Amino acid sequence: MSTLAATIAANRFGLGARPGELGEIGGAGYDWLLSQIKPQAALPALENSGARFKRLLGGVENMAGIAAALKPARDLYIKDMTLRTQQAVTTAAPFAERLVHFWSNHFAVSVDRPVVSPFVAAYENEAIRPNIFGKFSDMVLASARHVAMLMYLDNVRSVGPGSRAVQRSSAMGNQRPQQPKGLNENYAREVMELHTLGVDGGYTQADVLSLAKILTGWSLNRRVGGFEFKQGAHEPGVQTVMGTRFANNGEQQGVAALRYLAIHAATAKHVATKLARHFIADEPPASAVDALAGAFTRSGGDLAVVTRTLIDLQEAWQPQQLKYKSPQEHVISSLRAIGSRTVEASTLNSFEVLGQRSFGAPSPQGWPDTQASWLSGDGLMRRVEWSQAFAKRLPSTLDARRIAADVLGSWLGGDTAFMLQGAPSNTEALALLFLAPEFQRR
Amino acid sequence: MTNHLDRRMFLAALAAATLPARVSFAAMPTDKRFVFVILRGAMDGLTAVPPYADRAYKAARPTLAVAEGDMTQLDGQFGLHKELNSLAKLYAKKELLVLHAVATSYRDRSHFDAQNLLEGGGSAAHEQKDGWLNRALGLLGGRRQPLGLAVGGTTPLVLTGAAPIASYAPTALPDADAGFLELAQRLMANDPALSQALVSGMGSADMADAAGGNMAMPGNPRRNSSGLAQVAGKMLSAADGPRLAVLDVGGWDTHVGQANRLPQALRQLDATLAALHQSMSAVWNDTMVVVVSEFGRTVAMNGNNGTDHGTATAAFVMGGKVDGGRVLANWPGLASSQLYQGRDLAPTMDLRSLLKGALQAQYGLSAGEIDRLVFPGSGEALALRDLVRA
Repeated sequence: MSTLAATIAANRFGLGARPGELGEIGGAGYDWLLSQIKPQAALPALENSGARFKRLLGGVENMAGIAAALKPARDLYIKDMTLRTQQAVTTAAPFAERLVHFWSNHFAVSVDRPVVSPFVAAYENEAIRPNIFGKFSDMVLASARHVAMLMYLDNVRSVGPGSRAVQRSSAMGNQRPQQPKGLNENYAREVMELHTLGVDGGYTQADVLSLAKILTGWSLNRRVGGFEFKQGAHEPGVQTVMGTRFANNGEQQGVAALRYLAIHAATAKHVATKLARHFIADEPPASAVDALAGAFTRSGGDLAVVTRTLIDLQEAWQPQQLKYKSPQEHVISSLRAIGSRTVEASTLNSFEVLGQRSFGAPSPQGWPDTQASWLSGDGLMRRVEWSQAFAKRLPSTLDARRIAADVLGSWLGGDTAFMLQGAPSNTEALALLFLAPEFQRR
Repeated sequence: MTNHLDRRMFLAALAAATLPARVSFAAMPTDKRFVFVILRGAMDGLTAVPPYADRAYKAARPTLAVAEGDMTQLDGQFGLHKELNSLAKLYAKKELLVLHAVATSYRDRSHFDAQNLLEGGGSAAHEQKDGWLNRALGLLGGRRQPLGLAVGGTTPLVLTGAAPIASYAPTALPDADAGFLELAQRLMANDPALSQALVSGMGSADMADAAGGNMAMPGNPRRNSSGLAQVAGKMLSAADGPRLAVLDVGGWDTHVGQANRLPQALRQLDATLAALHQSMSAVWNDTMVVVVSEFGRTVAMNGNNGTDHGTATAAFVMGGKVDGGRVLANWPGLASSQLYQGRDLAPTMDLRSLLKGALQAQYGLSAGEIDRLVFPGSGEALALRDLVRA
């Protein structure tokens, strides 16, 4: 008989219990989570972004060339996502894995921009995964320097108006005073609004402009397929962001600015709120947010400390299931529940049909994290259809009642157990399990 | 504690009480239908609506200018590309209004930011977190079934917000069996949020089935915009269906090989709008369709036989009572000194003027309400009048 703590640990903090997982955890739910808070290595099976960049785009010079070079992108995407999803379905450290997904969504890149598609899995693997229990500022810097982010939010093209590159080219056309030619604000704005301070973090448009100038030159070396600071594109001069001056010392100006933003009090609150929303409730309790923000600030943004604080929170262990599973969470937990070891192409298609294509968020905000965003009439109909279609492909040896007890533990309610018991066929019983309120929430 | 049998009957009775009514004639807040069609990717207005009488047109576009044989002349100044064939017929019936040199207030060149501004309805990109059409829905009042309808997958920003909306998307998943759906309803009966969503979803699915949307869409549903338009049109035509819908038509970002690609996109747009018109013919006199794009394209061709992101472009309004058969444009000219930043068609009308005018004409929303709640900060964009005939 498993404990409530094990149920919560595996299903709320983890990615959904696999068969026998609750039994393995036993009475040590907290310890099981704690044991997963340790340095994470990149998955070796995913191709390195630099190697892939050189291979695909190394020789490309212009727009038409890119289209041809990206022809293999679809197959690569399928290959990458299969590996990534398989990792999520089979891992024995699902709490750590959930945090990988959480942070990669926080620093979202999207295949909405086709040129980014071959690099999204590597981005998660190289910039996010190794940093989930390290310093938040290291994750910000790794994200800022990664080929996927540089291309997704256009910083690769951002050139300082006073830089040598612009001085050298002959003046053409009118200069817009509000946004000087060549400067791209996209990344600067999103790193403040989405990654660090948050939309209410107190920055102004002038700050966005200054940060954009600071980050000019943060670009790509196309021959190597990785980050290179291009002094020639960098805007000279001291810049002021949020009242703080950043000396003009090339790449270090950007490092200093990003580190400053990464440990800002507004960032602590923003990050704390998102974590609390993800693990506790759509409207996270202020006590939880304060505790997490405090841990963030005291530790200088040490995510191992913050994560340990999270699992120490009483609010995070409340018995009620307050969070509604997103489509990816629902599918992954269903695959885990039946003990799946492989991921088929149909699973990846499912993500798309269910409205949450892997790395397919429509904006840099990433996927939302509330019931209001995911629960809709149409969305639930898709989930019903998917559950029935998925159940139809499962072996008849799977006993829905036994699985329900095994993976839901004390969350399994009498009404659901009753319906599984009375289902007209095993297939329908399995489909009903995946649709049970206690399975759709965590 | 009820016994085994009673509990079954109780759950069944509860499910029956929450099954959606197939026919309901509850009073609707409005009979006016509105379809907002977003051409994502920046449509080249200079090809869709060629300003053939402007002497600078052919000079500025030696290769890309639309030839006289490839257009329908509209009013002596502007033409309509020949692929927009059904639109030309609507123009002749005076049910199509063409606008040109229109743009939002956005002056940069990111699709993403420009669409955000177009849909958010603020005075700068990313200022509004919800959409102007959703805010307008909030002013129309509601009933049990939502008035707004999103088709084709994700809910676009323009329909996102506090007002609930219905959604329909053709799916590659087979329909759930009716018997199983009943079981699912019973299973979720005690969870108010889930059972409400399920009822709503089953209602939309029923409506879509009735509208002929139960057949699998060939090819990529996202590309089959005529099929979606057909279903949306039928749902909007229903007595108790939604009233405002949003459709996307893509294929406009013609950086490369515009002469081949753009006519295809225009053909698809024409087919989509024709399907919409046909499926809404019964309510066409109560319908207004507004077709816009987030910005236009450069006047000059680039090095890949295409054009790059520009500023002003064309827009369309159609409907049975629309005061059409004319082109509304304060034409700035295409001589290089007349271009915006020396490269784009200069905008002389704010798109919000069109959208505000549309809401006033269709729904009688007051200028004050619109400026305060739907398009905050849009004071300088005066609502267009006389969009519909008396």
